[in-house]
Amino acid sequence: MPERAPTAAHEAHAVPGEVPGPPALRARGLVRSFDGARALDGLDLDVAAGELCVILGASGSGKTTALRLIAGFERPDEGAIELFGERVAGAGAFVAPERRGVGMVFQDYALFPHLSVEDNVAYGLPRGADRATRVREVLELTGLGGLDRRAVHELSGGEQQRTALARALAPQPRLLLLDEPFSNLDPSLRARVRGELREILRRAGTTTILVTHDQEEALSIAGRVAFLWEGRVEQYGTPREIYLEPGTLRVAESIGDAIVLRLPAAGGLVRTPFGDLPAPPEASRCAVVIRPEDVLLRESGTPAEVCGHEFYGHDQMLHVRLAGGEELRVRVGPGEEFAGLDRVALQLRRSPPVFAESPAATR
Amino acid sequence: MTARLIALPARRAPLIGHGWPPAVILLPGLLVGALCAIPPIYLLVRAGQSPEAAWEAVATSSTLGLALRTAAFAAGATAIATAIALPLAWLTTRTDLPGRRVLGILAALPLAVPSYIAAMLAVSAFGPTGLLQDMLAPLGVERLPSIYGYPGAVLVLALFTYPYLLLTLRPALLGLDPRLEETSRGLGSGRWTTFRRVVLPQLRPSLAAGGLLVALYAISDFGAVALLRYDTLTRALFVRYESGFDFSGASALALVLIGIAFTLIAIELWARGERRYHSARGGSRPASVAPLGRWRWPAFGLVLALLALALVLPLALLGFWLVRGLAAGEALHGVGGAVLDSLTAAGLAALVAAAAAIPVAVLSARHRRFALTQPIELLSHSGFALPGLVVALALVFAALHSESIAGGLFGGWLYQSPGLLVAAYALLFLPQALGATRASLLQISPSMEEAASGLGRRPWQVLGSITLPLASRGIAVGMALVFLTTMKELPATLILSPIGFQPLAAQVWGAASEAFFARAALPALLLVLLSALPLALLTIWRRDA
Repeated sequence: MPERAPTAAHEAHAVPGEVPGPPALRARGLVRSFDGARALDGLDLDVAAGELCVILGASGSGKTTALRLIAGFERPDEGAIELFGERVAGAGAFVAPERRGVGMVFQDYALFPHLSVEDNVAYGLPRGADRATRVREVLELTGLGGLDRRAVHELSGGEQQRTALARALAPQPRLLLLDEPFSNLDPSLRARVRGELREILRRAGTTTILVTHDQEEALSIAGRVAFLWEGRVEQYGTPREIYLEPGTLRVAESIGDAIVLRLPAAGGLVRTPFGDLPAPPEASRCAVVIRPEDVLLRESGTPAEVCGHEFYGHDQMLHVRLAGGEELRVRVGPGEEFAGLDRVALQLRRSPPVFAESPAATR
Repeated sequence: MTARLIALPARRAPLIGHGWPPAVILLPGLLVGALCAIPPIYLLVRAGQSPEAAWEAVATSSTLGLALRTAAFAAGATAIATAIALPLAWLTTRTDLPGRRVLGILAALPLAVPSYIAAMLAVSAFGPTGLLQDMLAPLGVERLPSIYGYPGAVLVLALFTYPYLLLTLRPALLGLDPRLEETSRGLGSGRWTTFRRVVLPQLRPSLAAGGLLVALYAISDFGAVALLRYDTLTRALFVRYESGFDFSGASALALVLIGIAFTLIAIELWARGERRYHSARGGSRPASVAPLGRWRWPAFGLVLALLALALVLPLALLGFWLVRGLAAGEALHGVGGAVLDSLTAAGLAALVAAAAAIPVAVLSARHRRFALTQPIELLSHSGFALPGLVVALALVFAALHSESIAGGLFGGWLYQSPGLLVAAYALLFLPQALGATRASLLQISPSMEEAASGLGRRPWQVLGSITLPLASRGIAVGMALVFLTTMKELPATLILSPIGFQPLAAQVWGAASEAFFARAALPALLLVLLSALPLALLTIWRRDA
């Protein structure tokens, strides 16, 4: 067994750069192909000790492959992986999964059907007097006390998920990997289970990498989000950075609700219905990303024509058309009344992100 | 997958780097593959050593005639078995036939009657000096139509091998998506057209697989064709072996037989067509039941008649001969020893085959991309294509040969050793253990094993604590299958049994080939009953699964 990293003293998920010592994970240039299709195409990722990192990506973006490479179930074609400063894959080195000290919770949980809850959790623990104590501890931590003798098929979905988590946490892994942990749960359960999971992970203090395709999940739980696109990290940052300061048009479009206005630019300026905005100096065309909640209804501002509206309860969405024909959506609170209203004036809450666009890239 | 498909130079996955299977799997797998390669390679080498003699043995008109007769035998038996099994499978799965579930299980039991016992009973009942002739003689029936030759042999073989087809067809029929048939009916096709155009094409893979089993059984059958006096390659090969050690000639004949076996497998691959999977699993309702109407009771009668012929009559005849033998003071001693010999041989063969199947099944189910997986898998299936007689002869030749080379080193223990017999059984029936083990491995999510290794267990610990316990049912099914077929096996038993070792099959054969039916009755009855036991277990397991 490799030496376990100290797991104490990570009360909150740490901010990168503040933690001394080697990072929990350092992946460089990971490439992995399956039958000529590149699942990973030069993935770089650093995760600090104690952090909760979420890899967010559409299906096929390579996120599960990344997890399996870190766990050691696959070998990279190219690139290298270091865990806590120790090279585990790449450049001739390969450490078998059972020697990495990495815990994994599978999407289908992979609970051993021939073992009870207790025996599942005890599976990764060495024989000895401490074993039963540790099992009880982890069952308590995951709120499974009293279910220890159950067969796994007698558990509810949420209980199965927590059993898988307990089993992975029991040997005190230095790194915990979660593959789409909520996808097999009833949607009505997800928000609650997500909260429970975050609390369990906070108390266990384990460095965690979670993979998901659900942006709400990613943004709500992560310390940092790595947005994966076609086998590469497109942007890596806190949920706030990813959402409010998207690094690329793709991130801006993919995460959250957004309208993209494609407008001509010249001399470092792009002319928008809301006034001129600074643009990259060389750009002749720009994409301006406007989120519905950033558009405000005001007494004065850019005039627009109301085309329709949908009422959702917690808010409502107003569809408007600007003088130039551009269509926008405006998110407003549930109290406002729009019956009979056909013209509105719009202002922006903040300056929207602007990206240079080559003319050929217009979609 | 939305992953980009980049036109990369097709880089072959290197052997290392994408994971060698762990040594605990790879080394035993290599050993199994190497052992399975011995018979085919040995036969090729032998035939190649004196090509003239080999060519002489093959290129005679009599060999060509034998090959044709063998092919005709396989074709006839398969056709008749299909004609029995297809309607039977449909009646017992998709109609309101009275008692169809029980009948479906009973109809599989004739598989417990080995063809040589069936042939012996056919001769004793319908032969020229048989019971029926005795009964009819006072009525002025001088001579019954002869039981010997092609029609008798084909009928007997088909009547006791159709369960192979039944067992593959029944699950296929039960698994059909009823929506496809309903769609066809909705599009205006009648019941018969729907069966022909929708159901039958979906049954093609099962028909091909079951038909192949019957055909391979037919070409490798020795007992029935010998008793019913129909010359096939297998019978000729046996005669050639008994009449002296003509290695090259026998090897060449064996290669012709292997050629026929491979042709049959090729036909199966072609007949199976592209692999079709049943269209839906979840949410699919059980297949609809067709009312038979006024045909309900006639159909029931037909199925009963079949069971009477294939199940009741053999048992009754065995009982009759047993009673007659006892009345005539036939000695019963020696049967206890034969039962023990049979159980020992079949039990050991089941254990060895199951143990050999595990590494190969793991390679096949978990390491498909590994370069040696397919060759090992292919070699492990050689027992499927090689007739028992051929494997036995190859092992005899190889054992004698290795002893003539190694001289005193082996001290002659290999030939005439129980180990060689068990090895032959295990090699012959390894594919059965392999199929069942592999199927159960494929049902275990690989993430179970990954979870276990992620929790710090070494590969051999994962195998012992997760993989094998979860695959235990498949392994047990495989063992039951090997046990059953080993009990019945005749040619390899006759050739490889050490002196003094006389399992039931050999005892039955010894008596039956001399027409001492009364003496054969007790071991034959015991053999059928002992084979029916694992068969019944298997049918029950299959129903649970």
